[in-house]
Amino acid sequence: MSSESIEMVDPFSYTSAAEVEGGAIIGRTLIELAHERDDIVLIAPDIGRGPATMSFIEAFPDRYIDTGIAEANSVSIAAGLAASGYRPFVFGIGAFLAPKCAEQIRTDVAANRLPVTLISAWGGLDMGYFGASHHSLEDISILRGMPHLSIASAADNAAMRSLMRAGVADGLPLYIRAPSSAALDVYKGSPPFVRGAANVVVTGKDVALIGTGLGTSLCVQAAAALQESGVSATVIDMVYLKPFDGETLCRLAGEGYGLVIVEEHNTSAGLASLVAETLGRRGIAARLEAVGLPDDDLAVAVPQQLLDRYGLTVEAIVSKAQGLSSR
Amino acid sequence: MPDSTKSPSPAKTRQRPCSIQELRRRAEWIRLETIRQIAGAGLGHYSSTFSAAEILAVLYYRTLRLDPANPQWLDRDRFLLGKGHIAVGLWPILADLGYFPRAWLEDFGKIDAPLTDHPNMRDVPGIDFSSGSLGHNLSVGAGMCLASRLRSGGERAFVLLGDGELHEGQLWEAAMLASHYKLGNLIAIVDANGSSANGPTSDVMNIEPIAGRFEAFGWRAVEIDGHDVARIVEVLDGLPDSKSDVPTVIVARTLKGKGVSFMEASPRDWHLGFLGPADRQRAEEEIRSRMT
Repeated sequence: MSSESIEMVDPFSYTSAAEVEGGAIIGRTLIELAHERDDIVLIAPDIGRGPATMSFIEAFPDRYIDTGIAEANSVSIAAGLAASGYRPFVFGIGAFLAPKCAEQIRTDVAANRLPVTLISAWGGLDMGYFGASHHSLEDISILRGMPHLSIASAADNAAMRSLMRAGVADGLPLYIRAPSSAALDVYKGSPPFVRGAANVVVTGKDVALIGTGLGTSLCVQAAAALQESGVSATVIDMVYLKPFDGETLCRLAGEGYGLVIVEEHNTSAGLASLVAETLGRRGIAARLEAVGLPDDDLAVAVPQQLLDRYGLTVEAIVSKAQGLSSR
Repeated sequence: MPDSTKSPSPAKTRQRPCSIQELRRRAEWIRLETIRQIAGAGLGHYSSTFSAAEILAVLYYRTLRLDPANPQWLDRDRFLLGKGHIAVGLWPILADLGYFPRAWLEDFGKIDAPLTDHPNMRDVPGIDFSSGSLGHNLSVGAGMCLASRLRSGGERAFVLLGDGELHEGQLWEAAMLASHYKLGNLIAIVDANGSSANGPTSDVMNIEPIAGRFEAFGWRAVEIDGHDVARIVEVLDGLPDSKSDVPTVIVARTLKGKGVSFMEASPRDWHLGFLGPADRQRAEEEIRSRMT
């Protein structure tokens, strides 16, 4: 294997566009929150002492609980802390957090409406090099049937910080998929997200690109490329998958936009499905293209190779958007 | 953290001077109330409630530091019903202590009623955490004990487990964590009635030696007769201070269906069932005969 083809995600660092001065965004935001309030606690199953959250552990050692390699226990422990007045964050590997802890999330956190924020790190294909066990392509589908759990996906660091702060401010159960290693920055400053509301990133007139997480970052890049070829694209960040902003979606579809849906998730059980379901239930016909991952076994490789293999690329979005806008 | 809310009324603090004889009567009363509620609901868990009647009586009428007038009092002891299916035995106690009107008992098990087969913390004052999925509540209790440590509180968490519940893997994750974090404020009580849904617990999957297993996980273990009220009182009165650093498990050896001879004889038939009028009368007469 040639060395230039390898750009790996170090599983114990947070190498997304996330790396910024002063430490990774998750740790920095936790520190910020812990200075503001004394009920912030971080719980992590043998995964906290890396660059993503180490800064927080050093700053607030008493506010960190390592649960060892025991994800399910982490979530129930967090529920116990939340029921005692704390605002716990559970930081876990995306491939394991929702699949392994689905029942603890549903029964202990969501059903009791406890203020626990679950952070899925290295989700999607970020750990794609480590094997099929480490792909995380179904978290949205596992979680979206759980009443009272909000689900969000951060496009970049700024979005991650805003979502973490929103989780604490709202005081409700929240699952956040942390930004992808492949994401470029979408936001500057602090995007003022409202729970359940999509965010209009770019306004255009020819086609609408609707992304979540890495999808949003790719949509922004695709919109810039489309602009050069004379196509004006709207970009919507579906930052919350639940509650889902059907109003914004239906407004765009109702105005006749063709829609390109972009997600680093199984398209048969994620954002594209949500979009199709929402439009169908409201009887709105729309031209729809999905860019995402197949409902199938995926290859094992570093993230960028996998994104290229499965067409989760700016080029694929541009091509589909051109097809829709020319119709 | 929120400040501690108002202090409890003195009568509601822990280790109330409830005599052994009163506690024995209380356990029998729990059995009668269980039968009465299930008669209204049409289906319920008798025998695994009966195995825990003495434990519930001592906890709620003597041990737990509570303030029913202020269910969210921050310094209260927490009680978690790991074996959530015996909530029917808890409801009369909570009503009697004043957490909610006694009239609620009449609607046990009915649609939209707050009192359900398994407890829901969002619906019933006095329930510190919901349960129903076995194996979760020891973790939740450990989380509450960690919270207490973080705020330098003095409260304890008591988690009542079924012995079949010990089959659950997560429970042992919690057991490992509790000793690692030196949670002397966590007390697990195993209602070791020796029976799970499909047979004798250890025939289904061996759990013995229960005390030895917990000790291997760094716990202090005490084994008692779970129907010997005086012994339960002795052990719960003698628990180490909440600031101590070793969690305690009390392995209470019990009889499933205890107190009603035909249930003791075939306990699994009465795990989930309904007493017809004649059987109900037999059961109640037998229980009442011990209350005089």
